[in-house]
Amino acid sequence: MSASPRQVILGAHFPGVNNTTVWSDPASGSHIAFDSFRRFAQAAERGRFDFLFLAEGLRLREQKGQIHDLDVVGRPDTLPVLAGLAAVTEHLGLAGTINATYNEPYEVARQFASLDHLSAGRAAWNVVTSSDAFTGENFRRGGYLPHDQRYVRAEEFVRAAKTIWDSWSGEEPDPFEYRSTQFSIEGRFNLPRPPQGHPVIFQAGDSAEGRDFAARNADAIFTRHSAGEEGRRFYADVKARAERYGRDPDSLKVLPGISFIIGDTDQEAEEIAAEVRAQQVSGQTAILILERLWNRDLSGYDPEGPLPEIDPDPDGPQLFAGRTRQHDDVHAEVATLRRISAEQGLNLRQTVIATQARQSLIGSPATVAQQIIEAVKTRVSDGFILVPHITPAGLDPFVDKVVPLLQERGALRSEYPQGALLRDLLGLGVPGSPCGGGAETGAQALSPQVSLSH
Amino acid sequence: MSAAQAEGIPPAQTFHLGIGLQDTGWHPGSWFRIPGAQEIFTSQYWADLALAAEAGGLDFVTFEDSLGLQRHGQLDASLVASWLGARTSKIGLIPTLTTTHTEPFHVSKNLATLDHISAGRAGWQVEVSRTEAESRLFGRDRPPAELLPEDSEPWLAELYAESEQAVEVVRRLWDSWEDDAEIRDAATGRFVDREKLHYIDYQGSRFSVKGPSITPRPPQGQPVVSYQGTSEPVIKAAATSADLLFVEAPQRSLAGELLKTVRETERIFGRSGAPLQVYADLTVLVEDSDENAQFRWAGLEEANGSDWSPAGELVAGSAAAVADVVAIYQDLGFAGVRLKPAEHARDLSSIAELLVPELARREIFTPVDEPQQLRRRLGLGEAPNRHSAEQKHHDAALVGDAA
Repeated sequence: MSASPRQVILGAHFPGVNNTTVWSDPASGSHIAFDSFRRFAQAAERGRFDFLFLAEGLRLREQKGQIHDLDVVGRPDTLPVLAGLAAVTEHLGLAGTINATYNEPYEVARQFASLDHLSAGRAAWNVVTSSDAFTGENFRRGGYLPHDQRYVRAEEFVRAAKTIWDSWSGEEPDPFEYRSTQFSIEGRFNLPRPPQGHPVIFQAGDSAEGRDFAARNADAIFTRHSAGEEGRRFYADVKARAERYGRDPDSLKVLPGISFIIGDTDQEAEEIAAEVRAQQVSGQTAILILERLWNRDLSGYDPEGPLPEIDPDPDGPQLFAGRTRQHDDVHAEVATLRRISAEQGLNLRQTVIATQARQSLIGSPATVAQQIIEAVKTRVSDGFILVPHITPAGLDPFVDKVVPLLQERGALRSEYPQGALLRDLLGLGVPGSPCGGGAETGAQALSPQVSLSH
Repeated sequence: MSAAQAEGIPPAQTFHLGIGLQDTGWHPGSWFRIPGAQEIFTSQYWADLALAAEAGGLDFVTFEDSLGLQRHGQLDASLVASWLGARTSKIGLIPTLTTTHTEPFHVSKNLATLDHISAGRAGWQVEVSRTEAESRLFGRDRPPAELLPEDSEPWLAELYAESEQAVEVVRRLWDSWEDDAEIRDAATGRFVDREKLHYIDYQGSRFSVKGPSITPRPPQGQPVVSYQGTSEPVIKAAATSADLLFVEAPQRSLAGELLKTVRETERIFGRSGAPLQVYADLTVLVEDSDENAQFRWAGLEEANGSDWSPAGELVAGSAAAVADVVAIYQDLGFAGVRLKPAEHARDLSSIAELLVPELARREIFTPVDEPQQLRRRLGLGEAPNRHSAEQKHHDAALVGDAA
């Protein structure tokens, strides 16, 4: 056994509402029908994955004041889908994204506790926050939250939920109480402690605040840093943060999201990857991606012509809503695009294709298996959350061709352990059972155990 | 002879049978007669109950729920229903979702998704959270109980008025996507036709919601909406907003009066479309003989340690005795009955195996034996999308002008 490589954690991200998802492919099925989710989940379970992952959005995206129509639009509600999937899977973890800004801790704690009971301990919650008034327009209190309070609310929200989950002693409910800057709640919970104690907590966010939030509260981080030195730096950084808060760094898993293309040979995979990138970035999508960066109307430009000569206007009125900003320094990013376009002689669309390509796993099954084992071995990550570009069959090539190789190498389980909780699959401990009657104040909860000095 | 019969159309099934589920059963003694009462927090427990009801051919099951702690605790009813949506194929699934501390935007997509998972079998039992204890779970203020007691008419009027607004928001969000909004037009690169997605721009005293929903229109268009209760605010809310109303008549002699009150309320508030379907809640214990039924009832009372009786009518007896009472409510003009089993562990199977065949033999009820959308099963008719309907009206007007 000592020769076995580190175990790889695998998640399966149901394709989402962005241009990674190729809806125009003839193999592309419904993003709404439950059968798509069932099929996707059952493929992941056949591949002995750790969990399935669902994203969330609470307002349809807009561009220039109109609903964005070029990518997949619409999705079913996260928690009901996961509850339905609990009924048609047996071992697979079920991870859902739920916003801490537009929900209340008691209700969310109750929903995840219910999912954990219904699935016999397979629930996970990806905690996200938003602060935009645009999304808030769908909610009764408007929901605008000052940007710098997003993680304060998220942290207090998670601590409130944990207090609620811990409030039963045995088969009896005890009173709970949680007071903080954002919440002042009390009462008795109507569910026993979830089978996992606490459902697994995910966090997805790259800022220093987001990383500290994860280091204090989360069991896993969903990140885009998936390769090379950058990935290793991110990995080392968040593990160190976890240690500073007095945690075993192994208790915080680093899981990059990553797309993949499998071919019979490396060369065939590269060819398929080039085709898929072209499908993902049509001329219209290329213009749109640049409009998001420029924050200007670029509809008059030819996708097959040169890059726009005008300068971006990042500080002008925002043309795009319902989407997080992806570039901190817009002018530097534009300069990079111009340089690549000039050096390689690429037109507008080609430049976008060349620079948008995310870090991907591309190659023969053996190559991809090796890349994954290597990344985990060299501490770039603890595993990956795979993002297929086809719904719902996109996971199949990975499951059929790469998974057997990972299993042969001893990097992935061949069978699920009987009755395993998601925490068991991920190698996470089960939080100790308190004596009930949880009461906590936010001020105490937020002080790190070790003071920070940097 | 009715017009439908004259045209050779088979008469729609007119009397319906549902089951109301609440933890271990409606008799509080049922809790003490289950070896491991913690079973109610497992999916298998709910699967057994729903599959028994489905095997019996019942129209639907409702799931009681509240945010706060009542009796012994309860899994989130909407998630139980979604779990069951993936495991059942015929029975209607009507979970309780509350409107006092929840967001209509979330409620709307939750139920739309249940409808997608269950292929059009979703319903909603609208409830409110009236207690101060529930307000505190959300850190919200509630008027002091000494000024506005939990069951006082002004307080209920306020809560149910808010719930009417919530139902209106939810219904508009269900219609915010037209059925053919998703076009996947490769030629123009458009996934949706944005002309068929609609902002709802709802501005009420309790909510303002922009829309559209993030979830496409549910298969039924409008899942079945129900209220339960007999207070004036409930009847008003149901008459203006719902498809079904469940009532517990304190005495059978008052049941006919209740129906009249409902019809009068519909008239006062100008209800349009199909009349509200009113169901009588009937607490039942069914055995193969009246003696065995009485014996089991006595066991429940003993387990509970005190006598218990429901707010509405109770029948503990043989299938024939229970069927006699069901027939009375049919004659009174109710759309159906919702059976509240005294003890789930036994009564789900005795209803399915003893009572339903008796009702079928008397041609009171026709068991469901094929998958069908819940609206259709209950004879509620299609729910046209308000936006599509407007468009058709608009088109018709243009044609009229041209002529």
